[in-house]
Amino acid sequence: MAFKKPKFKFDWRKYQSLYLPASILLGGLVIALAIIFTGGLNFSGNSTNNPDLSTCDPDAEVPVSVDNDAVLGDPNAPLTLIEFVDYECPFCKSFFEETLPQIKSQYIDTGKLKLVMRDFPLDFHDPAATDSAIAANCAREQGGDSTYFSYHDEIFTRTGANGQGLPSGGYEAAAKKLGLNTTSFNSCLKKDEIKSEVTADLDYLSQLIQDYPLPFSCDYGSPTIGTPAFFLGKSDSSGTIQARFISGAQPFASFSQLIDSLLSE
Amino acid sequence: MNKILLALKLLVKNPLYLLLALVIALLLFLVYFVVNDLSYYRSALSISRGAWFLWKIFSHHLWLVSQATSSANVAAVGLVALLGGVNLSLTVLRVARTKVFIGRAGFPALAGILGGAVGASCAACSTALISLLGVSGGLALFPFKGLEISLLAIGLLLSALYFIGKSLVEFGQI
Repeated sequence: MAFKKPKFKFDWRKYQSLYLPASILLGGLVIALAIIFTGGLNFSGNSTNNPDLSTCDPDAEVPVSVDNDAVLGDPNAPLTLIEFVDYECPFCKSFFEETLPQIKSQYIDTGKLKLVMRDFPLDFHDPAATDSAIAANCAREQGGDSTYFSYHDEIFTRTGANGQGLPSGGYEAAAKKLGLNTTSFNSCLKKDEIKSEVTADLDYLSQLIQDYPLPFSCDYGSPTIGTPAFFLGKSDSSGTIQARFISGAQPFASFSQLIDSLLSE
Repeated sequence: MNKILLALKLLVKNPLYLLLALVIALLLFLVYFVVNDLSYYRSALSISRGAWFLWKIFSHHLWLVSQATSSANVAAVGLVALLGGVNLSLTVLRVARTKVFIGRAGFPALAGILGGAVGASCAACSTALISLLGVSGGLALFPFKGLEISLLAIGLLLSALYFIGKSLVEFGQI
């Protein structure tokens, strides 16, 4: 008995109603692949406000001063990470809770990296943001850099963030816990020179993004920066490092990749 | 409510349109968070473009936002994205079947989809999309950190879904 092969005829017309959604899906897939294979999300200054492509370069290095601010880790470490911190920023708090302990154990405690903490209290988190920055600097005045960082930990542990600040009496309670002289501490909180130290950091960063807008102008057409803001580069005896800007509370993976690549150079 | 359920049933019965809705929802969810924090993603992309690394960056972003606001905020943005995908897919289905392009769902759907972008938060203070709209401090100024905007967007998208369902009933597609 001869086997008769059934005839298969594909009728495209039966599937006509599917053309439109299938085309949209295909179009979306093509766009997604195009984005991936042409270099990812590269919005290099294509803003209508800022058509000049030369003003945007996320990889551009900028000279950043460590100033006379508090240092965590070996002062002779080959790499320096500068953090501009707002003690009331919830993302700075998340960085402190999640990422900083990993950076500390793998790079700071092993002498590969030092962390310099500079102030960037945002006005919409004030007065708590500036008060916290002043309090941390007052702790440093009494006990040096290590006390500054212990106090830094206390602030982030105690603050409600987003401008809520510490509960009433929180600054003094934190100072007492660290064994500081609370009378001197409280009088320090009123010192103009401490407040000037905080505002000097703020002015410095504002000037920096105006003078070197390259890494800060890519997204919104004008130099913009938020907290936490990081600058990573090779340590320099001059006190100014050629640093790469890292925006926001990136996960540990971002920092470790950059640090490892700088260490291997 | 019945019109919304009918529209959703129609979508479920058409797997390709359901897939389209899910793909659009996923893309909207990604876009909502990325546009709010271009600077965070630009920094990450300049470090590495590996898929696993980028997944870590995105999941970390979601974790940061849930820490700074609440898990409900992230879930609400997800719901906005899902409803946006369903709306757009059903709009395509309606156009394909009725050849009618104009409908009452257009404005609330568009407003809802755009609202979703404002409701998502970012991983750095002061660089959120809403800050650019003139609100210094962005979502931090809202009592529920942007959840109120997402809820408004959900309401708009549900009303758009109602109008799409109604028009599909009127055209005899349901």
